[in-house]
Amino acid sequence: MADFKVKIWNNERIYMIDFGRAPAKRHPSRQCPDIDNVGYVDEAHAMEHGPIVSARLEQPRIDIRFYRSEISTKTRLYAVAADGEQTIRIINPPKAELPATRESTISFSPIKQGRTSINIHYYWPDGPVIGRLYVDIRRTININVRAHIVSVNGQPHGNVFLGEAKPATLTAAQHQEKRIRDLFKEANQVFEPHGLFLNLRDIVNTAWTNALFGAPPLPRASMCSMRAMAHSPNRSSTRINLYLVHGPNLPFALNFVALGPPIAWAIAIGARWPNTPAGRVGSGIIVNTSASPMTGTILAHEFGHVFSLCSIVTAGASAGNALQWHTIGDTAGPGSTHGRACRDDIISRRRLMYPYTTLANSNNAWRNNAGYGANMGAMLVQRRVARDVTFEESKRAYNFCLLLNNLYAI
Amino acid sequence: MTTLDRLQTQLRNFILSDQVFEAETTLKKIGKDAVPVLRELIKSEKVRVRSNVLELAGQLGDIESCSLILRALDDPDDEVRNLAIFQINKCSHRELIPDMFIALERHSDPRTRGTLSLQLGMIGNKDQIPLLKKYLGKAKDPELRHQIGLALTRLGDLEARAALIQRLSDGDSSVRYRALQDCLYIQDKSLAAYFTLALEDFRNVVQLTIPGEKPAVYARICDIAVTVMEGLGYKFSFTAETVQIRSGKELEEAKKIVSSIPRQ
Repeated sequence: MADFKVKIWNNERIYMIDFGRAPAKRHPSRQCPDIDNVGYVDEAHAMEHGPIVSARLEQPRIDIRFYRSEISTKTRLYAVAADGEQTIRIINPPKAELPATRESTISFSPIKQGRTSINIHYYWPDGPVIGRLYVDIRRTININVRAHIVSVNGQPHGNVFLGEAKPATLTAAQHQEKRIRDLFKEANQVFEPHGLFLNLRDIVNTAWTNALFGAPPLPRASMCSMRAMAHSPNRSSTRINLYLVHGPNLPFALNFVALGPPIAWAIAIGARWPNTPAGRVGSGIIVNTSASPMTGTILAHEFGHVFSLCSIVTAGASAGNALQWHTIGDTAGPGSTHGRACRDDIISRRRLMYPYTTLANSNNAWRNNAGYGANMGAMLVQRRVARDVTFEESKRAYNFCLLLNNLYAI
Repeated sequence: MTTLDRLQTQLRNFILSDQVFEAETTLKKIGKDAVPVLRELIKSEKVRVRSNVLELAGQLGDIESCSLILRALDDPDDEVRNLAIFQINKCSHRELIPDMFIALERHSDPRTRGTLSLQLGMIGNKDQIPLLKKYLGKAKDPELRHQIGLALTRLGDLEARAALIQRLSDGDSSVRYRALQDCLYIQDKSLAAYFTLALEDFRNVVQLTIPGEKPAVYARICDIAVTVMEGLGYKFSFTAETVQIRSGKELEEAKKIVSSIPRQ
């Protein structure tokens, strides 16, 4: 037992092993989800100290990278489901013993909804536990979405649609539908591990005219867009409406790539026409189809806004009752008004609600690769830390969608 | 086969094949004649089909469709049940009030009860006050109590109204802000008589700019109060449709209106 020669102090916890995202092309996927290893405190589960991953019940296989960070390759280690394989079944390693390599892959499949852990046992399958990966298995919630391919004043979309030029082999309509479906597939790679499935129920052609944007005194591109979303033909009241517009066709300059105003915030700023409870709210998502790059992660980010991941509405905070923020860079965010620091660091860059799609041109080049090339990550933080209201994104998004409150159009 | 038969068959096929957008178009053509199809398909074993039916029932909004929505509150599937709760606000027929009270009795979860109460407040009258008060007495969840209180206020209960007026004067900005928003649900113009303090409250409560937009702009309680007044039906010399930072002149105009409203 050469690995246990060092005396461990009573109040110290030494992590001899670690877990991480299994190799994936660029972003986390449903099979290789992001592991939340941001700190080791979870106020929602005070007795749990370790990294966490979530998955949806219907997923056939989830891969996790396992690292022997401070323990030798000679030591026998075993990966065992803590509750005797009631919640998950470990597929790999098949006989629980981990290979004698610095890195290896642990694979498991969900069996039922619930919370358990993969325990790493030292030397024997029932030996001392030297580390854990907590696992939260969730039943899938379907989120219904209607995508609108919007023509503005009869003007069509450009040749480049959602970041890709139309290939000669496809018609414009075929290319548009393919791009929309591709983006949803990518966006679902982000949300499926959290138990959420974006269900693209229909793709419809919708015609907007200048009249939908309102009178010129409306000051902001965001407000004009929200007004058009609220008044849009074909708008479904039981789905999230995704409006795909060709930016140059609009009568004003769009100052965003995409915008996903959550309903509660839209109501708070009076984006409801008429301004009564019976009025239509300027909610949904609007995406500029001429913007490049356009990825499923950007779409997932906007859904994150719709799921209210970045807003407080009537939270009772004295400095702000209806706030919107990203993980960094917003003067209005919790970093300022709630006295918390929102640093542009490796952690904030890993999170889905990071505001920039590329890190290639940032001032902090040494942090450009946070595990996803030069791209932002797609992590939804699992842990609850009361002092940071931006945390616990995974569960907040899940609960938000579970209740349907303020999810679909009003 | 008549045209109606053909359209009903078409509707049934669209619902079964999950083509809701197309089903919506057919629904618009046949209106209430869609009800037999909805009634038949709500019994489907497939969750997706039942969800589709509920979506369409909400759009149709007639008494029979709304009855389907209320009955779906008992559906074994969470998703269908959630959709039914979400569609309760489509039930705007007074004839449904007894059914809504039955649903209120059957469903003890705060969200269903709260949504039903708010809708009863929208379509009911003073006769419903004693029954709703019974549920207020039982309610422990603060949000549910708030929602029943709002419904009672809208139906004309003086005690609940007094509580709302008190909240409009509360020193806590979030309480005052929410009370202002609640006035939009109540839709009682005379409540604006109690907006004096709100119109003099310059504390920030709502971020108007989208994330990343700089500088960040906040609306104050006084700005919210002006927009709520517009929502209650008051007219200004300026547009108050959406929340904006109001000038001193605009706030003075609002205060002048408020001072002319008799307190009840």
